[in-house]
Amino acid sequence: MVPVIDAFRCDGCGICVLRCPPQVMGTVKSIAVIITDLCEECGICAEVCPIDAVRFKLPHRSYRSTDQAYKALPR
Amino acid sequence: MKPGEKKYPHIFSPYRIGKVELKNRIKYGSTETNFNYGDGFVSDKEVAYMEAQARGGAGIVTTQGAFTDPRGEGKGYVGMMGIWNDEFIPGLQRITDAIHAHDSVAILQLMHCGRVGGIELDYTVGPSMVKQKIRRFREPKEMSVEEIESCIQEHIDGSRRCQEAGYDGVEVSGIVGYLISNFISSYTNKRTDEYGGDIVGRATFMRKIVEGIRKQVGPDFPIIIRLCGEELLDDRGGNKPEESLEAIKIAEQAGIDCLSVTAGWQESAVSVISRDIPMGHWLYIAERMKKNLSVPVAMAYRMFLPQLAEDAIVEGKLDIWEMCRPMIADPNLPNKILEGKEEEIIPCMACNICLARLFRDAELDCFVRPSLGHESEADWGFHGFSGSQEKKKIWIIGAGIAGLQTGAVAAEKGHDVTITDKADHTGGQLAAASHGPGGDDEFMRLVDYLEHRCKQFGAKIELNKAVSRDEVKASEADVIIVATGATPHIDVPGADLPHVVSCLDVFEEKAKVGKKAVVLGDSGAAIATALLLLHRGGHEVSLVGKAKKPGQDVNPSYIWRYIKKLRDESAVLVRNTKVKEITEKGVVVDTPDGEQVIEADTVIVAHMKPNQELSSAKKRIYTIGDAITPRRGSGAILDGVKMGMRL
Repeated sequence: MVPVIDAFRCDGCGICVLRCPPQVMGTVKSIAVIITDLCEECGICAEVCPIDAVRFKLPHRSYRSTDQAYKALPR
Repeated sequence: MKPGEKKYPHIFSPYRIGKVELKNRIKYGSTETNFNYGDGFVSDKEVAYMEAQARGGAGIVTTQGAFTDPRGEGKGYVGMMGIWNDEFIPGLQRITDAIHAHDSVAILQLMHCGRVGGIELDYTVGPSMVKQKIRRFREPKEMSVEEIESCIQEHIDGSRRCQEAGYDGVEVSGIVGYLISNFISSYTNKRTDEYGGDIVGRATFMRKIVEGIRKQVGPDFPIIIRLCGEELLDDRGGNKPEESLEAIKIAEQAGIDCLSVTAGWQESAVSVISRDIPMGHWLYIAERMKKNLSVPVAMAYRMFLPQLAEDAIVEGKLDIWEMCRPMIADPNLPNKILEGKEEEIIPCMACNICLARLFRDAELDCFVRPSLGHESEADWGFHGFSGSQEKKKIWIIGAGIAGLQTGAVAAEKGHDVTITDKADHTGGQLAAASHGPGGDDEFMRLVDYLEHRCKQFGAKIELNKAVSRDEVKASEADVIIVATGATPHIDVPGADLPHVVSCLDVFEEKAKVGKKAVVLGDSGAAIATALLLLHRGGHEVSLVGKAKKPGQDVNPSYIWRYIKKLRDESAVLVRNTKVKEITEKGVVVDTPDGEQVIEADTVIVAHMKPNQELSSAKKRIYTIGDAITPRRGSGAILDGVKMGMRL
């Protein structure tokens, strides 16, 4: 899972760019960007971002076994 | 009889735990993955991963730990499975079915993470309030007797759900700082009631869980427990080995069918599972358990080679060969050993990137196997790459690990592959790094594996052959891939003086190093060079660099011990500096306190610069690995696989 920069929120402070271990980040139009092909998915950019502008969350919700939609899923 | 059965007759002999028959003595040990949904339900990704583990041929496949409480106090990983409600059973059943489909024994692990749990809460729970030493974890709250009792019941309810989901047995985790180990340890249990005091009191929580589960699941359902044989917490008042053994004996009396014994806590200030611990080092703990218990003893922890496990079984030190990381790196490891294809095993480098990812709330990841978590996606080739429709002539320049990895995938797809390198050996920088101390010779296992895969599928490897731009221009290959890596380089006056040498030459003993050695660089390469010189001895080492802390690229579970080692052996860390010039006397640097001269007999350059000269020789050339930008080995392997996937 490659982190996603929230472009609406990023203020271009560049901390993630400095701290990215493989050094595969930069800024375009004062917004952080990741060279996704070289991203090693370590999540340090998300950890160091002071304003939570890097989304790096696993999918949180699944269907419960009692949900109608879950029951309808092909097995 | 298969070759593996002949070579390792004990590993591949049938065995039993309680009344459950095993086809061999290999156990895939419980490992968190963070592949599941945040609410604890099993994901397709997890099922595919577990299916791969079972398909690989292990006699027992253990699921990751499942947390047993609805509050999430036991949950230590964001993508951890839950088992606190009957609603989880259908998902858990999918894993059982996947394991049974491959004739393996399915064991589910129950785990309450205790003082390293509560991942989504602002607190953790434990027997006593003992302050955390690792910043990541929140302070624990002392559990009341009522809370302890309901926690025991939650474990028992978990075992019922485990049985209902079709598992063949249940495992309870009480290691590395999880709740049961918190109760057992004198470091974290300061209680004075029935759950504290002496080792019998401290083991009461564990005993009640085991006895309760036994009552719930009946006499024939195996219960395995994972407990610490040695806590390695002497510096902070942890249990003595005799106390740990005493607790384990209590578990045996309470009715367990098998012990999986471990060493160390997450908080232990010594190396436990990193590469600097020799393989088989911890076997003496298993041996001690064998001498004192009558139930089977399993152990993982730095036992990556079948011969070690076979010998240990023969010598009566071990009953079951348990593995986590080696089987994350290659789930097919058991079958490959069985079929006599050991050189095809993707070797674990004990790099602990897997752990580092889990601790950063990311999905499990692997240096040597990028297909991890993509087992169900054919493109990633976990079950093998299918032949390409169009056979291409592919020329890879550079036989480092990025080049070899691409070559291996491309050749498996049926392409006509040639790999050319100017050196007289394959492996590039990793081969150089394998001369380092602390188990780094294991890097050659990866180089040998990759080279074997290339040759197995008919890739040609040409050595001692430097490639020029003109040759690239004139090449008729359909695809040219530049994997020429990086070389040490620094652009300051004096860089061409004779006492300025490359870190790679130091590793390969092509350069002599004087008494006063100054290493220039911030990355892991610079740290590794400094460590190598300290290991060889006779040098005063300074590590000079721009960054505040060196080794930003190094895995957190290695960097602390590297820095500790540098400090312990009096290496001088000169940080926040800019190299201005190299003179015959030493290195002139700009520091926040003004200009300084650091005396040096030898200056070792460990700033890596990509070798991109060939990339622009003509259009449509691919560049991979450090030739794009210098990174860790994991980047090279990832590039190599991705490049191969695109061919």
